[in-house]
Amino acid sequence: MAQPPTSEHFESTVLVHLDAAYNLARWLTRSDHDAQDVVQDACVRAFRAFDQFRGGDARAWLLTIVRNVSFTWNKGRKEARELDEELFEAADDRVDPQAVLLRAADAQRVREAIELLPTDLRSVIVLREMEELSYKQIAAALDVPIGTVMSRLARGRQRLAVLLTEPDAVRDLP
Amino acid sequence: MNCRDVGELVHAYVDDELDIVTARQLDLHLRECSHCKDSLESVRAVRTAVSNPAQYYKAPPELRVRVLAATRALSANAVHLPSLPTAFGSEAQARRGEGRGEGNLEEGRSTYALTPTLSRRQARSPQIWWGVAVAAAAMIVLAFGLFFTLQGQRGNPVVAEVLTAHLRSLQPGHLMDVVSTNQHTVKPWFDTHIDFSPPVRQLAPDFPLVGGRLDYLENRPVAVLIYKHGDHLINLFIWPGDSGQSFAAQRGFNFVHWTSDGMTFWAVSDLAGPDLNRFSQLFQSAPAPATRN
Repeated sequence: MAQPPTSEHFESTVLVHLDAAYNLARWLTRSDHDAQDVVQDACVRAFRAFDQFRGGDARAWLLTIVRNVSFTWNKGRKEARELDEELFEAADDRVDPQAVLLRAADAQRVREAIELLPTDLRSVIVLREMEELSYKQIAAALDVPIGTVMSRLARGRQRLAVLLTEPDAVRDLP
Repeated sequence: MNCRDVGELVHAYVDDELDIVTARQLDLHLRECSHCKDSLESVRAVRTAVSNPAQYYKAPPELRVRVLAATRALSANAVHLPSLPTAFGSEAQARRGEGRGEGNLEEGRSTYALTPTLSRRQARSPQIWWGVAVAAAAMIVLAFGLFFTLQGQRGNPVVAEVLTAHLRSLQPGHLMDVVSTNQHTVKPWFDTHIDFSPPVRQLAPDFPLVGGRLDYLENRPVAVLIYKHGDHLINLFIWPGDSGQSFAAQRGFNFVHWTSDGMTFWAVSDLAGPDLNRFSQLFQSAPAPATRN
């Protein structure tokens, strides 16, 4: 029989990644209050499912659960603001890297740009750029093929580049 | 390679997710093409912007306290703490139904599906494990459009497990956890991920090391080294133990098994028998890696 999980083992394996869990939940829910509830729920679920954890990357495993809980949490809620797809289709992929770099230091602007991404792109961006997960780990966490991870990442980065360089990109939103 | 081929590859390039050959080709293209070089630089600039620590939300201390309290209460077999019952009640109930009345919430199952389920059942009963192994292998085979049965493998369950793991590794995204041709990268990776130290060796140039991963076999996590020979992949499974040596062939796959220095080795590939034997001999005669530098 599998050992019942001990809270000590769970804490040293999984709960050490609480920051990562909160960061993802915070970006996905865009609210501190919701993120805290999501993380609490995810940790309880992780604890109950701990005997199924195969001993790989505990952070990726916990983030998978956080993402699933956030997804349920966000269901039925409208995105605060949807981006205008046409804006990005119109934009050439020729973005001046220097212009992006110039805005990179403006944390407020960068934060707004990330929040403006649709959730599926935002999750990939957070998991890759902030958590440095591999494509394989992201694919597992989001339950999508690696090809989808790659195309979402490409679209997410392209949009961020446009949002950071086009002065009108945000203002024109409905 | 031309600009049309480049497309999303710049992302995989920046993320170090390209195979070496493609990365080289892209390198060459980037030297000559300022347009693609700009795309690459703007990807890097976005990365710089987003990975800024100022964008990272750290867990508030009160959340840490809440979570610790909740899981410790559960661990002490205290009453079930209903968190967010309204939002997740129905889903939790549906999942409970699936969990054969055990009340398990099988989070992450769809993504980490195969192995954790196997290992859990395996711990309970060999008969159930065998059934699950057959089912898992059947699923994988269906996925590959192959057709074979596990009949005749009952004599050596390890062969079946090794083959199942080999087929699983061929699915997209399952082959490698650490991608490197350098034994000095692969070995330390294993040292931090598994409780024994597998020998990692670079062999002849026609058998390049391409990476490693963790897998689960014989009731335990095992180390896997991945080598290539032409277009063929070789999975070399390694775990502590000592039980003879053999050669087997099963449905077009060849297996070589040996032990040395208290470790058990299983190599599996679609490589022809003599080639796989040569691989095994190369590995066994390769000098132990020198210390770094």
